[in-house]
Amino acid sequence: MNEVRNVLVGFVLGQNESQISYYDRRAGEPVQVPTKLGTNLFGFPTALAKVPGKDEWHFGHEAALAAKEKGAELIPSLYQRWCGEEPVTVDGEEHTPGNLLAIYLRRSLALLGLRDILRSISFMMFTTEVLSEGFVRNLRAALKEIGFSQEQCGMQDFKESFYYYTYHQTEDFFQANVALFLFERDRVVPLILSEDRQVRPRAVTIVQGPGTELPEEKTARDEAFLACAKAVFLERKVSGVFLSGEGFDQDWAERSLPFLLGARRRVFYGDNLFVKGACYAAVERKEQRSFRNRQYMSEATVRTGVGMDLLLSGSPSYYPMINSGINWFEAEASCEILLDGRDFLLFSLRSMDGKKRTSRQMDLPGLPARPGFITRLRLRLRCLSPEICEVTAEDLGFGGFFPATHKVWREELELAP
Amino acid sequence: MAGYHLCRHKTADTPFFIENIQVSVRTIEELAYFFGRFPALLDETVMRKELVQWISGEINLPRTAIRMDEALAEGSSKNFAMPVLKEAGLFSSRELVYVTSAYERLDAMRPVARKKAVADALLRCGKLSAAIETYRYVSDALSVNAHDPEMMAACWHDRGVAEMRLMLYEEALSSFRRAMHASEKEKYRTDYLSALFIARPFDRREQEIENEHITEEEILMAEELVAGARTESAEDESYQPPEGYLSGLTSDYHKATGL
Repeated sequence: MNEVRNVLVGFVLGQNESQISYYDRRAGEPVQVPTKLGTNLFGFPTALAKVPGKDEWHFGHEAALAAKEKGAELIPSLYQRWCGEEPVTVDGEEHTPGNLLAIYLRRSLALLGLRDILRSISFMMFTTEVLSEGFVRNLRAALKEIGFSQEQCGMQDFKESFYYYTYHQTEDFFQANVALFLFERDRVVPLILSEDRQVRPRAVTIVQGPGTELPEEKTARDEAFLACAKAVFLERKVSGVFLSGEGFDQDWAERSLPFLLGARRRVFYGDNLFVKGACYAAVERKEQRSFRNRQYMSEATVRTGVGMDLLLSGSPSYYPMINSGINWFEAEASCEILLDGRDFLLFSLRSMDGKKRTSRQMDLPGLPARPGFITRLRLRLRCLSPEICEVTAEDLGFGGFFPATHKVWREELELAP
Repeated sequence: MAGYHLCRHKTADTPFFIENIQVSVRTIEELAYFFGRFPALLDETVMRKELVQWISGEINLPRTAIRMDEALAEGSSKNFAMPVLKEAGLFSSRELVYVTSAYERLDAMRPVARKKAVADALLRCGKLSAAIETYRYVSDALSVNAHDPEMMAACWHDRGVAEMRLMLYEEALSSFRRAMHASEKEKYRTDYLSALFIARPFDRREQEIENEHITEEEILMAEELVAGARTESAEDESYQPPEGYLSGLTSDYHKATGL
């Protein structure tokens, strides 16, 4: 590994397989981390096992091996457990899903060969198929347990990784729409990336087309995939195609592959799209910021920004707290303000393009009557979904002059300008 | 200045203890509030190296600390307070001019008047025993060194207010009486009457009314004032007890003097 400081990492946490990559600044591209030095084995099973009576955990390929040879307890449906809340009993001891994930991550990240992962990793982007609430919560808990700060890590779904990977290709690849055919053994699901060039920043969306079942027999399989590709290309112009996942083979794709390559389309096949996409996202987030003229819009994107009109050093200013364009599970902010004598909070909501503005009032019933500027409130904002932002306000009083009551008010703001 | 104020600076892990009012502060805004509201209390217990170090280390404002350190060497309370007031951003430029002039007026005051200003500030921030003690010091100094009946009257009056708030009714009545005797201002007589009607039950006022030659008209006025205060108290749960009426009068007085 060439990088030892400010390392940027992409990490796929798949249901069955995980992958890690890091950004090689000299090469200017992500490099996948092999599970064994000098091999081309990049993916490793999302599996964890514990040797009974010992504090000995095994992950990936070793987990199954340890189960077979050392009688280690292999945790079944590990990924599903990370999405839930139920504690898991391993070797007679209860573990939270977050704790199990922390154990898995600690061991997996050792593949990077870094002496101190907390200091060496500048930013790490996790990607998974779907970012469920449970998964986000447990991943956060795991990262906290390991000692990573919130600023050090991000998370996205496969679609967003696809977005980042696409825009790190040459421009002719994304001149028109880009299609990703995701193979799941006997099924293929098309994802189509489109860009709205009429708005600023350009809005990029990814829609999922209907899945197609792929028969076992070669010719029938080829026909089924061809029909799926034709249906996608019929509705739109496609300039670039990715084929990924388990189930595609050039052996059977006799008619479908030439069709994909037609109309000067460029086609790539590989199983590292998401891990590299996540790594590119880490680069983008931490260093490059070359995506400023594009905005990825997913179901998780917060489309309304939340802020307040405040006095900054005595001058009235708009103070943004939750920015639009980010994923709801990453939308968090906190600050402390002094009330000006009003017993309510007034938030200013702005649409992504800044054209629509409105305000939401949050009353603070039971707030002790004090003169202006001597009630300090701690405000915490976090999105519960792309449409709901939870606000909590805590009365901190004003030093020894007006003691804090620590009374807490909570309200959910509907984010629609 | 209208609008919520964003607190941009760090909250101290270790608070700074303001000795003369026995209050701890943790933020630059709290310190600015103290400097802006109570200029007279910026004495040697506050103007010291420890506060400069606290601003630099705990609040993480080394530049502000340097300016305060320079003011410390000059011995200027105004220059000591201004960097904090400006950095906190709590006060408008107009309010800053007002606070600056308050510091300048304090600097120009003779020692006894400045001590009176300290007592007034203590009264305003509710440090009643300390205020009474300081008023006592001022009245003693005035009776020995200077002939200033107006200041003497103001001193006794304000001491009466502090005593009233501590429910030391007899002492308060005595202080108001001395204020009334020191000055012919109507205000002192009115406040004395209010205190009399609050502090003494009906059957114990007669002797006082006779001694001080209180007229029927004045009795009616005092009864109205106290009744008004009691009605407000009954209507408004947050209203102060009757003696709050007097402290209101005193705060008007302090506003007028600008300290």
